[in-house]
Amino acid sequence: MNKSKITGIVIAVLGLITALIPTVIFKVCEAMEGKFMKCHWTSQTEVAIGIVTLVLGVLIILTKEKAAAAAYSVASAINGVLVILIPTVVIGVCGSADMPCQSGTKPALIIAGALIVVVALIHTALYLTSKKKA
Amino acid sequence: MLAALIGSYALFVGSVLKGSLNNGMTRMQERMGADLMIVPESSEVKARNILLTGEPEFFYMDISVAQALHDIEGVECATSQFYFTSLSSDCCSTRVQLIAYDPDTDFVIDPWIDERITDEVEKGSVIIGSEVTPLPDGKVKFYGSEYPVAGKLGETATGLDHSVFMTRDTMHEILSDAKEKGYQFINPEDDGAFVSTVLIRVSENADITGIEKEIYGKAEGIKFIETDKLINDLSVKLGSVDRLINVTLTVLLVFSFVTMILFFSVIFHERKKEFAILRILGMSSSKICFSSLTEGLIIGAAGGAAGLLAGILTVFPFNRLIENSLDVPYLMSPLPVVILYGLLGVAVTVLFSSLASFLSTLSLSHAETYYTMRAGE
Repeated sequence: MNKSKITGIVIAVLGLITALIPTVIFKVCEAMEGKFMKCHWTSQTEVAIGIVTLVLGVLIILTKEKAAAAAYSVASAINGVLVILIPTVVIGVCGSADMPCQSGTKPALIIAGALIVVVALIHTALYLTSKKKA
Repeated sequence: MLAALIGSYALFVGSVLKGSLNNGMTRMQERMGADLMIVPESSEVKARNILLTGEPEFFYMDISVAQALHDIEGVECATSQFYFTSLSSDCCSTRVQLIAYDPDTDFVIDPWIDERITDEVEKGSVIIGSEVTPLPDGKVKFYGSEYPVAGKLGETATGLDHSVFMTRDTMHEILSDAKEKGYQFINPEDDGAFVSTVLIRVSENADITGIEKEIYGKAEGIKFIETDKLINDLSVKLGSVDRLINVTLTVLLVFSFVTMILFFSVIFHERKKEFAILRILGMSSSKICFSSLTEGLIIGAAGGAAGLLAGILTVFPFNRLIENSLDVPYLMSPLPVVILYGLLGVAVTVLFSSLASFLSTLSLSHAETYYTMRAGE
């Protein structure tokens, strides 16, 4: 199995995990008195980003062009950064540290996002190094 | 390497959990302050919830209970508190326990104050528990009004970390605001007539049962919570959590070690001809053993480091989640201790891995080189 395929599988799995974190693994807070809190919108956005990352992972597996695979990796790395920024800066989660979205969802998303960035950047760096050697 | 990773991860996470549970229990014992708590007869569970889980509760009794303690022998000091709650109206000011105390008689809150912003807790200002996050402007908001923070308590590993403390004057303001918004706890005009609990510190060698009997004779509808009994109950609970961690840790370590022995046995068995060639070329048995030992050491160190990283990504980011999931006091061990646990985890994994590779090589070194080379011909 070549590097691109392994990277694609890892990114696809991490994308799936990103989508599952706020909905299944570390569910965000329920609506309070019919009012949705910030973490609900974070959850919706993360599901969308997770699915896009999953698709990018599949594309990395399927593509035969190394340059295209590296480009998909760069796109995955950008998605990884977004996974981190959504619960921390862009939308955020509930204020209290005891809320499930603050104590579970947020750290899990940060870790998943960081892993996506690291894996995607390593793949891109390996591609650039091999291109230089050639 | 996966076995080394699991071993190191289990050892690090297990040690941190055990250390943090013991740390939490010790801190709770230190911070309890009072020997006895008097609460309304029907509110014992609520009072325990406040202390152990930080679940906001509201209950009260007549202030005459506090006045009944004046001439009881063995009561060294006593202070009263009033418990009520805030609203869970929005994200930034979640529902917390509000506790009004009397600074003149207090002996349980003041010694915990870790950070003092002002010297005294004036009317309109509050002291927050270690886990309460103020608004960005450094204030907390209750029932539409904002209150400056006068100080922050140190971590206690009790539910009081999630509480906000104030004087009776401030309580009067909050109760009035609450009444205006349609939340009636007690009539703000009568707030001086009620307390939620009376905390008592008894003199050394005092007979607690005798004191309880004497108070029972003077006040009705009350219940006592003895700190020692509360801590004993928690110790029993802590014991079962501790046993669970020990069993899981032992199983994972044994699994890790056995897997490493099997792994090295299989790998070295497949490479026995390579070792035989090295012997024929003049390499001594001890050198071959040393080289295998180095391989084991490198695999153990790499797996151990990866396990440590996975452990760090578990215990630090999810510290609050672990704390909230356990029903016992939990307070993260100090950083130097956590670093020590990490080093210990990696060291044990490296030791296991080296030992496993050494044992596997040792079993091969007994075979005659000639027969090893001719085997299978």
